[in-house]
Amino acid sequence: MSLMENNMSIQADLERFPTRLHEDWRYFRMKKDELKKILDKGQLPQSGSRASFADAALRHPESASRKEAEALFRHNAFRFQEDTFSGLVQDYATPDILVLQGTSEVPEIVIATEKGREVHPADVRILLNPGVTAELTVQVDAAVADSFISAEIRVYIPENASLKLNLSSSAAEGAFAMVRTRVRLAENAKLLFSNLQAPAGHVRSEAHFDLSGKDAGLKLHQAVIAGGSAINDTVLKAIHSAPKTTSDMHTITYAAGKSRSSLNGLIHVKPGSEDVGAYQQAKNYILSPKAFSVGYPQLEIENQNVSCSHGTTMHSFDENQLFYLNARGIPSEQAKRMILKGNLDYFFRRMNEPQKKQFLKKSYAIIDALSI
Amino acid sequence: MKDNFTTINEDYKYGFSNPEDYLYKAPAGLNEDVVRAISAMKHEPEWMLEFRLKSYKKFMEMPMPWWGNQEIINAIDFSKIHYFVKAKGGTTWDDVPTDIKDTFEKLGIPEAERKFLGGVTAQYESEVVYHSMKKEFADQGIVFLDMDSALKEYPELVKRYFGTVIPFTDNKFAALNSAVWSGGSFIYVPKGTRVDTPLQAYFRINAKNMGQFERTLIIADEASDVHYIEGCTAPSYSADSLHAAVVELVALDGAKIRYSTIQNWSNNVLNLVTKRAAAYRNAVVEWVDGNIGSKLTMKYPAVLLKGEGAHGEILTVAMAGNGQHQDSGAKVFHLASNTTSRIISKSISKGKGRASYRGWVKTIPGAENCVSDVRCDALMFGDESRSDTYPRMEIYEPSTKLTHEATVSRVQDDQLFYLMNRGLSETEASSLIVNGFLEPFTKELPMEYAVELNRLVALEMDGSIG
Repeated sequence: MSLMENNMSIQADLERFPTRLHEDWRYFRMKKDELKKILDKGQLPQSGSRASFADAALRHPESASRKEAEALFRHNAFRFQEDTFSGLVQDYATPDILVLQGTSEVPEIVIATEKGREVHPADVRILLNPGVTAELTVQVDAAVADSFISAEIRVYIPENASLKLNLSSSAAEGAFAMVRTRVRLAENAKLLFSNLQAPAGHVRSEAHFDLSGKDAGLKLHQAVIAGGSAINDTVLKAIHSAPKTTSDMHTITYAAGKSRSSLNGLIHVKPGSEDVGAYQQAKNYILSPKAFSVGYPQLEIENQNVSCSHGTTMHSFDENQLFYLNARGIPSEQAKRMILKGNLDYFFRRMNEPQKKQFLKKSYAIIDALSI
Repeated sequence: MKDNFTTINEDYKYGFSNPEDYLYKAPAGLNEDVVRAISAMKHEPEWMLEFRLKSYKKFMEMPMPWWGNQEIINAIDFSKIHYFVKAKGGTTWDDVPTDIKDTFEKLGIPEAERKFLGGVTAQYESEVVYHSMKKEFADQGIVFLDMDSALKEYPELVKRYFGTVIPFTDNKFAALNSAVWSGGSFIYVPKGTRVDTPLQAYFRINAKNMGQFERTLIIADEASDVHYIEGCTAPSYSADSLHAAVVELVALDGAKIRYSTIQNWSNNVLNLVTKRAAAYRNAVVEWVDGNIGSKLTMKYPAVLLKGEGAHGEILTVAMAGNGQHQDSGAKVFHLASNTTSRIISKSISKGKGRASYRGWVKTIPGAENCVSDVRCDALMFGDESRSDTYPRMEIYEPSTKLTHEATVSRVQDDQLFYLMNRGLSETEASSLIVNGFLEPFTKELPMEYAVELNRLVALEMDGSIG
């Protein structure tokens, strides 16, 4: 029996969603036939997600508090839209609830495919205790051609807790990764979200931040490096439903080769959310005549006491910058790579050093392989 | 401080209406017979009837736009609208029936014509009732006619350009307009001719449940220059009226067209307009678009930069008061190399009003060295107001330089403090701040319009703070 037989038709799903108000599926949709093929003949993985950490850093909740944790994640803020991808997770993945303990160790969760035709659904739910400061790295990698990952990551950050979440998503050529993240922030909760998307194949990443507690704050830094014939669709939503919440989202996209990249961003300030500060910035480097980039940053503001803004730039290299480096004896191609790497170094400056090094190492390797 | 807002309807000075006395009023509803009847009444050529019928078919097939205010547009009952209403008119001002003349006197049209306009067209319901142009312009070969007369007098010119910038398949309301269009302006400016003073059209809806579907086509031949202004008003009936115009501009090589609009419809008008310009080599097109009235406006003036070196500029201003949704914006497609564009959008939402900016900038592969700058600023007054920004940027060419910025905020307390500290009342201070906010727009209007707009803003802002 096909894995997909009990699920909705992927074809119908992708036809239905492209005109939704705040997002679009334009590039992911272009590959729907390939995706359907994988899903039709796909097989579930032998092993589940791998997690590397000491028990002291990340634990399953005690059986007494497990029900409480499950109830917490039933909140509307953690509900994903119903479609093939969430259906797959619901039917075939076991929810993995983990509690971050706030030790100095940074746990790492790896969700990866290991062979062709593997269809890997994953359901990860992360909790912190109030007042805890913690860091977590999640790697989603559809590492083999013709494989597919549908990952749902839910994170609840309670009062006065603070989390650094490092997410890295990639897909090999011909592979697909669908990464959906939903984070709910309670009063005075803080999140620093560092996200690296480096598809050689196709990645769609949806991140939804529900700032529902007073003084909750989000800082997001997302870098997309797409080369070859990669496809990258990103949806970022910051929903402010409490006073004095802040969101500060920065994205940088490098589109090289024949890659296609789209960014749908939304800042929504709900009525009654006084003194909200929200900012979104998107920088796009279009590095080849055949690379496409689409930006769709949106604001929906239903309260007057706000200070919200967004800025987008789309361009190639700054000639002055190149001239400066050329004049110092650095050849153009090297100068260009230097600029791209330098941008990222600045971009991920708020991460802790070991994790930042890990991100940059991965990014630099991809930048070195880009044809510029 | 007042608790309530002064909505435009309460103080809407154009909200009066005249008794309905028409030469012809089509029954409510749309079918092929109505389309044929409109065409027959106007003695149109066969190609136009075919165009109308094709458009009618497309209109019936096409879905409503998926964006914008779904609640309002999906509630439009097309079967209750009168698609064609012919009023009595005249060729000289004295021939115009007294009640219609009174209307335009109240709107200040003849006075404006004497003072600073090169020509004027006044459209009442579906057709133009008065039209004039200064003799010196006519002598230069400038054609400024209502669209119906142009189709009779310049059939080849109309046929060549009609529907080329906005095809009837463009969207549901463009298809509707293409099926039942009536009235509107036609302007042709010959090569190298400059029209020094603006040409103006004034559109007035008087009847209840009326649909006004004017069609405007402006062709600026090579190296010519023209400025066109349109104004719109309607009475404040409780039943909604529909205004679905189509405006096409063609700026040939080196030409310049500036198209200014002050839309001040009453709060019962749905203003769903398609405006688009084609700019050829080194041509310049400027849309200056002010939206103050209407219940819902969905209007996104567009420029297709088709020739190398062309420039498009779009300045839009929207004020949304209680019960109003101004969904306006701009669209620029860079289809040739070295083209440039600038979009400035300013919106103010107050009370329970909602202002949305919806924009689209695109460069196609091979259109090298295009530069585009987009700026949207929104001011908000009141806890129940809403402001949205939906820009879209599609760049398929690496040499493009595009920048986009948007901000949303309320009037800053320190600005108010500074002005009130110097003796201004809260209303005066907020009006001053808003006028300053709108300055990039008002400075582009002729003096008389800028003064009128500032006055309207002062009226709208009365009691808005708090």
